[in-house]
Amino acid sequence: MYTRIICALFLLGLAAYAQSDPYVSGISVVWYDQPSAQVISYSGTVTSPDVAWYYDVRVEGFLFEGDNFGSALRAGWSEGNGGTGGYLTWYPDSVNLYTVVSNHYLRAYFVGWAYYDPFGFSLIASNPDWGGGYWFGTTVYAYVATALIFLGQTAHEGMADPNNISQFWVSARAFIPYNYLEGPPDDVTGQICGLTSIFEGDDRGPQVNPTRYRTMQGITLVPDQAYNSPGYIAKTRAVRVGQTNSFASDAVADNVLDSRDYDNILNDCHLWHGTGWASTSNMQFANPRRESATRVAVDLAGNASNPLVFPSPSIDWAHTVRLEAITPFVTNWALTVSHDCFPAHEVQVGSSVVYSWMPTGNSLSTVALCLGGMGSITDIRSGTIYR
Amino acid sequence: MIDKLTVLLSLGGCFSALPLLAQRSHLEEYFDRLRHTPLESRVAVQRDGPLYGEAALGNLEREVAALLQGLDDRDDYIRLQATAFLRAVQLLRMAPPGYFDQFVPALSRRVSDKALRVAFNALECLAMIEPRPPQDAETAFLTALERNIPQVEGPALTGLARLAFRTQRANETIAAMFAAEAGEEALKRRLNGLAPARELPEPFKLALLKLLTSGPESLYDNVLKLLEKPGIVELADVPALTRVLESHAHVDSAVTERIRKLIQTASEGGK
Repeated sequence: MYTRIICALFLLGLAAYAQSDPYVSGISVVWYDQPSAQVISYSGTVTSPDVAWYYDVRVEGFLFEGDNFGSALRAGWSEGNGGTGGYLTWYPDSVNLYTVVSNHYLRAYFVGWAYYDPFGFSLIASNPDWGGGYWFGTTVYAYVATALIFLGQTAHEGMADPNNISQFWVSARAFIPYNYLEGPPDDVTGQICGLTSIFEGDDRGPQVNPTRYRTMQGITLVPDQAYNSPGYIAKTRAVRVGQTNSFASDAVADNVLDSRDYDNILNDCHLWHGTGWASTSNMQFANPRRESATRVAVDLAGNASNPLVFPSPSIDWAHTVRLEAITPFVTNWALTVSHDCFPAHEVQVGSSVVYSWMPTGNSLSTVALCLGGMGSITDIRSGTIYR
Repeated sequence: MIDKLTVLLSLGGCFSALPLLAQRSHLEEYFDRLRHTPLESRVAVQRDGPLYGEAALGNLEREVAALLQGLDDRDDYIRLQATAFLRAVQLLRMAPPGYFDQFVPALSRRVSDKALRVAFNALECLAMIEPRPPQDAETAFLTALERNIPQVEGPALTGLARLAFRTQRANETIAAMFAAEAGEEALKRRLNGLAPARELPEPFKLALLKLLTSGPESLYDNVLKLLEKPGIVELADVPALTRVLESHAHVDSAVTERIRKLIQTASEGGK
């Protein structure tokens, strides 16, 4: 029994060693609208080494549920035995898509190669480039990533995207991570209560879609031109500031600022003393732009000052965010950041905080030095988001 | 167990290092680290910036040479660090009297800096010198305004407002900055820039009153908010305010009511 298993394993290993991969070329997919239906036609060539293989070309619609695949709705396919070696040319073929296109995400792809052992239909090897795969009868197919073709990238703009997988909310925020902060006296009302005032902080760490911040700029970017030509959704632009609240020093006699310190009486040098909103006039969006069919960029830059203190140095930042769609499910981001070392800063792309900076201290002198630009941070980061 | 010799040697080591430490100020060391670190790996040094700054605040006189050198450094970031430190010294009210006099020439050179934040900091430093900016800084303020760069207008205007004496050229520049021809967007920005001011010298006040008669209506609220601040209008402003009211006489609006109240405030001595 064990001898047979060892022999089988040896044979499998030998077979795998002797194989080289088939490669795919010339695949094209065209998607065009017709009055009665939307049609995908596809063609391509696969060249195979001297092994037995199958091919399978599919056009499918996927229903997405959140970030997860839902059920696959097959719209059309071609499949067959590739024979032994040689090559196979797909002649232009087409499928009609009557119902799938408007409600589902569509893609056409070559469902790659698979080798079989001579004794049965169990898988020996498959293309390792694509991590996914699914069961088809008793055989595991692996997708060939190089041949993955997304319709939207090739032919059709304004593609339906009911679950917004093509869109990324990009936001840059500055926030005070502390519960409160000692600062220069709140002097806007002309009533100065002491040498320092207490300013409410945002009391949080880096966070996705937070409700508390000092400044926030955001816009939705769409890196894939197939879904959106300009690369951004103008109506999603947001420029906001958090409310600034100052307190007399008695508010933090217990070392914490909380709802009990809002006494609803302003300008009395007792508990809650002043409130205001920083101006957003210097929080510009510089040029959200498409840089290629799959890449967009936006500059999120600006400055904002404490509205309760004069003169008040401003929180300054100037970030550039670039997104590049690799596939509809894989997007690369690149970020150049420049900001003061106080307060905290964060950049969110999609549902991830891709950059955060936490200040090293909150003393009056650290804040004054940082806001002037001393120790200001300039950095470059990059990464990938998978959906 | 530590023997006496080890202790003495250690102490000797400490003392022998003291003259070296005395020669190098904190900012000099910080700037040198920046100079010798490639741009792409500066984050680690930048992170230490506030620590050097805090240490340097302990002995401002010792940092003068490094600051003067830093202000003229060819590296944008080092010039920014020098101006940022001086700005923090001002904000923290730590400068001894006359401390900033020695930096006025270098700061004046920086108001035309190609790095806007350096220019901004330099202008703020000059504008906020106590008790008043030096008269020599007037040219720097005017030069900054002539660059026509919105980002540096604010401190340049504040500086002009705080000067004890303004030349005719300065007064004309102020009038031009707040003339209706400047355009609504620029005017709004400049009025917002004046919002924190606790006093408005004559050329500013005259320009604002002129805006109330010949400026765009959309700015009336911004202008009135400035004039309504305590201590801005005085008895001497009553005739000018009355003329403004007459020009609005045909309009029965909240604006005329606010102007009437301003006249009343001015008549009572501007309380």
